[in-house]
Amino acid sequence: MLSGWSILLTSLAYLCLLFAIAYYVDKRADAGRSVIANPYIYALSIAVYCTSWTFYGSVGRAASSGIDFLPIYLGPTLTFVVWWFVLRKIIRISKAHRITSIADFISSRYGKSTQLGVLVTVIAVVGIMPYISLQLKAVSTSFNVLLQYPEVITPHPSGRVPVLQDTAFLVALVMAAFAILFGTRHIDASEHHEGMVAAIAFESLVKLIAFLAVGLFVTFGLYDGFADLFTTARATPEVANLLTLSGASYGQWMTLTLLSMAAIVCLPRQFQVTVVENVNEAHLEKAVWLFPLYLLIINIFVLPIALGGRLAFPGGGVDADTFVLTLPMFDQQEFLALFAFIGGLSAATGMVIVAAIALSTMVSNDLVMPVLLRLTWLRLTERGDLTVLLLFIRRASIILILLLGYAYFHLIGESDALVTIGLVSFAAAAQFAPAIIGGIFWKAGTRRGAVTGLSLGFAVWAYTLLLPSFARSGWLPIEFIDAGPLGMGLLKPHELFGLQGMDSLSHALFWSMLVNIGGYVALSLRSHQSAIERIQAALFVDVFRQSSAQGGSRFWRGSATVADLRALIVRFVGKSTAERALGGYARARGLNLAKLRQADADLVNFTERLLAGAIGAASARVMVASVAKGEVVGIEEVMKILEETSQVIEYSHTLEQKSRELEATTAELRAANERLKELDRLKDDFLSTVSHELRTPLTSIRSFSEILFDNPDLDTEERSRFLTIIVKESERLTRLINQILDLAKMEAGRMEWELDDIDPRAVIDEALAVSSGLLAEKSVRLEVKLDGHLPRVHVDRDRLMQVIVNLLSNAVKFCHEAHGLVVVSAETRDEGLYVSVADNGPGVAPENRRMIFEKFQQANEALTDRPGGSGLGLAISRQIVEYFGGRIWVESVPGHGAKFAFTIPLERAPVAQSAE
Amino acid sequence: MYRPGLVGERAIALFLLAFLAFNPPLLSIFSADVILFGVPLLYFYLFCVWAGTIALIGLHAVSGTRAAGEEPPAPPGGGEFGGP
Repeated sequence: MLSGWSILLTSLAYLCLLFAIAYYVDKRADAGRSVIANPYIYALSIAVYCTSWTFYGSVGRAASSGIDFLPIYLGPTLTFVVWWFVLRKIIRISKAHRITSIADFISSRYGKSTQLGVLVTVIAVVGIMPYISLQLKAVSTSFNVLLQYPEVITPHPSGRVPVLQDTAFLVALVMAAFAILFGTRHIDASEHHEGMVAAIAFESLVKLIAFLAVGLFVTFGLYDGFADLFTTARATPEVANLLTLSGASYGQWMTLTLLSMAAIVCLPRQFQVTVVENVNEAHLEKAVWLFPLYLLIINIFVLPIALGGRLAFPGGGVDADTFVLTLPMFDQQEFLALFAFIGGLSAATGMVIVAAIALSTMVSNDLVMPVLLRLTWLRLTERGDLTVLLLFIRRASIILILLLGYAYFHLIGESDALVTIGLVSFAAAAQFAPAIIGGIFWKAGTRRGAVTGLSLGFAVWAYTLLLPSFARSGWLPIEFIDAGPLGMGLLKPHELFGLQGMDSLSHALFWSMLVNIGGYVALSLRSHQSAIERIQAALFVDVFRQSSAQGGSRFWRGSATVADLRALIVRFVGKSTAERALGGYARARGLNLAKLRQADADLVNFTERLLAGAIGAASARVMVASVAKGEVVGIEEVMKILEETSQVIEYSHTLEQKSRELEATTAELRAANERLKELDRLKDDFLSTVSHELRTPLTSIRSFSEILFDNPDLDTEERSRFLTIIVKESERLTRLINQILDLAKMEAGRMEWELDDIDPRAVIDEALAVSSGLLAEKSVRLEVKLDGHLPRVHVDRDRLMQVIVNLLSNAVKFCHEAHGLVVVSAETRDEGLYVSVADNGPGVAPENRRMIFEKFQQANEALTDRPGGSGLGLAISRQIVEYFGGRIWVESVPGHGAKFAFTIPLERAPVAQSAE
Repeated sequence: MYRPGLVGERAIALFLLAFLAFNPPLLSIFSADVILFGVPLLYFYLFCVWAGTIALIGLHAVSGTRAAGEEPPAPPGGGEFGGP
């Protein structure tokens, strides 16, 4: 029954059934009646996560280390717990930007960078190679095992079989054919493969049922239910340890959990089915619990099968990776064995087909097309229909990818267990996680950061996981692992820089993530984003804040003709799709494209997005740039796009300004308050000084009067001397009071001025005459130097005279005791009339030169009797001169007299007297 | 009732809870040589917690999306392609 031919025929029949399903669904989709648009099919298609690894490998892993197989399925569950933040956001972004692959996603996020697209594609292709080889190995091994029926043995890899007779090679070719049939029948602008999704979902169902059938058979056929099986296992010393945690290390458990958390998003095929093939975001709502449920169900019987296998084949002669197949064979269950084989085939083909399609999309869109478009001598940007070329590239890359997978299997993978091979791929895919997660949550992540992180992470991955696998297979000297390259112990790939005590996978994950995340963050912080990077960053991170109508980045501002754009679309997606797309666009906006010549920025953006669906974002930009002649937006417009941000900035600017205004007002108020306090203090000072000044003459008047009153018999001479003093003091008192009144009037601005054009010479002469008595009294010599012609000035005559008299009496007061000399001079200067009064007294110290013009301030405070001076003379003089628009100052060399001078402008502009 | 912000908060809480529940040190406590309902204790614990987590995701996903009041955008293609 289980002859080679029957197995082959059954397999082919099954594959044909798959194709029929895919074909039917594609037809239905073309007719607009989508079959797959429901969350159950969506969830089942995500279950492409369960490959031969799950179907055969998990059992193998469980048979050797027990519970250790489980973290690979707990991780995705954990990621799906936070679907609201991660998956939903990635899907929303991908829909808005027509993302076609994980390479497209990362390159779009970081400014549609071709370089990043190429890098991600290379990492993906190299990284997934072991994973594809795992599937080929599983299918060919299971086929070979089945062929041995009724013997139950694992045929050893029998040396080197010719490639053309190698089962794995044939399997690779058949799978390539299927992937081409499913995935590249035509170029679809939205990159949906409905038929493929339906086939994958069907396969997920088949592999689940097959696995459950084997599990039920082992548990309830070979044994009498779980209790019987586990009790037997517990009683058998060799397998009892599989029931506890003993086999698994803490570190490895965590590593596997983290890896699978990343893998469920970052594996290219998972990205393809979960994100790219998602037809409706709402399906996620159900899929987020259906898919983990699928994982749970398919894992229930892993341990029972593993235990059953270990108990049935105690010698270890049968590879634990084949227990799913060999246990039914052991019990002569031919149909069940065949069904199990078909289940395994489902698991393998599902993975290979989706991975090949996802990778071929990346290779064509992000690797080959950008290169071809840049080769100007190909003149590709001017060629006609490019859909044929695109399809050719994709088909060729599918064949190439599968052949590479086969090569890896043939050269390396034959010795390792399935799970070990698969984990190498998981570690490679996990390298995308920092760039993706950072990209959707962190606006500051830059292209250079992503390139650096990815390159470093990939390099470390290759060094610590890929190269050692070459070494183990004999393609590199084994000393590479044991002693490090060229004997450098620090560079041992499993103990890099002396890091010991970790299994090789955790070790590789630690180092690769350290350099990946480190490089990404450090370079992102150090480098600046270009305009387009900034736009894309904002569009990705803030995707939920934008209305879906304007999903595209408005990078193009310039114009292109509608005809050019139409031609461009036709060349990449074919005529009918192009017409449909443009027709839909025109209808939605109420335009008539036939009449339009110039396309607006919207249509250019629309074209770019449409092309992005077919050839990737980076290539689409190059193509659109070849016909759109506009310049790209400047930084101002970027700011406009980041409206949210700029509004916040504006708001904070306003706040800052308000707060600054408030501060200024407060400062003004404080200053005013200070001023008031100062004035208050001045008033107090003034009052106390005035009272003091008034009391001195009063005291002397009163004491002399009392003497006269008490001593009526004083002689006449004495009496007249006292009376003279009393009269003088009274005069001084009167003068003081007059001066205080004057000053108060002037300061209050209530002084009455009688302004007139007068001759200064007459005023000076008169002042000298008034003061002559004073001069004579002190026997002071007077020199007068007046210019021949002095101009007339517009002043109050009496006040001017008051100033000069004040200065004269001041000079007399302070001039040399014995040889007093006062020099009065007047002349015409640029400033106007210049009058000075100089003495030869002690002079005024520099620090006092301003102060002496204040009220009641005298340079020599020790001079208590203040002969003839009230301390108000100079203050009054200053008020008067300043009223006339002039200024008054003192020049002095201490010890050589002082010279008081003032000027009065000729053309006097009226100066408002301040109320000080 | 649900608030939109609550969906995210609950998701994070559930994530942390599940992450801790699947942590090896905790598992080692259950890693005893005990058979419960015919199943080893460790497996019983793992599958129960796992099933519980899935049930909670499902519960929150459905009520959460509705509470968020956010209609996911219509699938692209239909609108722009204006037909089949």
